[in-house]
Amino acid sequence: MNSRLVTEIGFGAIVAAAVLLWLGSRLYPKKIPPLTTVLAGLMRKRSARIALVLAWWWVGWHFFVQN
Amino acid sequence: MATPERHAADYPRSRLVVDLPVAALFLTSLAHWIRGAPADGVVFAGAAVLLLVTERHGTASDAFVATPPARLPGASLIVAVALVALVFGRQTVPMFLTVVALGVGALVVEWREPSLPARPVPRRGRLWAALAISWCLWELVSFVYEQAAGGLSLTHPTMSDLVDPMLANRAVQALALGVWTAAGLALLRAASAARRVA
Repeated sequence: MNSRLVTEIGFGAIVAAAVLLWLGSRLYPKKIPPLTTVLAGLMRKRSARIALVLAWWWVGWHFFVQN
Repeated sequence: MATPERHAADYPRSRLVVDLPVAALFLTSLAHWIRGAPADGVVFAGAAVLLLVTERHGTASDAFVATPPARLPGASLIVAVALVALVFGRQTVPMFLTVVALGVGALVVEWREPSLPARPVPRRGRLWAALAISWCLWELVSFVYEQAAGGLSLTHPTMSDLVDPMLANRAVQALALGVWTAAGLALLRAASAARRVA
């Protein structure tokens, strides 16, 4: 198994875990809180809102503007 | 049965001295400096310093919660932004102006709103946090390995190295930019919803 495959499996596992967590929160919202519920709790704080908005903005900046 | 009304004083105050989001912004700034993107580092450090200044005043009173939510654009904005990608493509001046305008607009909307009294986050909400931290750590490990191998992205690719080739086509760029804009709008809506809950 080469190093590229290991890296790709790692990213793939995280994406799969995200999908499973999302499905779990849809099927069992009382056991696994939906992401929107968690975000609503976190985003009452201005610093959390700014950090999340900046993280979102940077993704667009990095992939669509930066060379 | 009606739920009893709760006020700011009813919620427990955080015992943390360090503001975790501000600390995360400083750490991200440092990571950008290390990866050779000082301009990105300045943006994150600048935001962290500004937050330290603006957050000195603490949280807003309960009266603020009654403020009507800001109106956000919807599908029209997503289509307009996707069209910019379709017509001009990425790494162009129109794309630069679009992404900067969206980012500045979102930051201004959120910066104008003060912090509200904290509410407890569900315990299992930590699963989402663990997922985000796992992604950051795996990206960091990939980056360190890539640098140790002399910057060989073929053998030790970061997430950027894996995603970048997929964005060669303008139709994919338009789709991706539309999804990115929709995610940003969803984030602003979640923030607006958080403000409406007392």
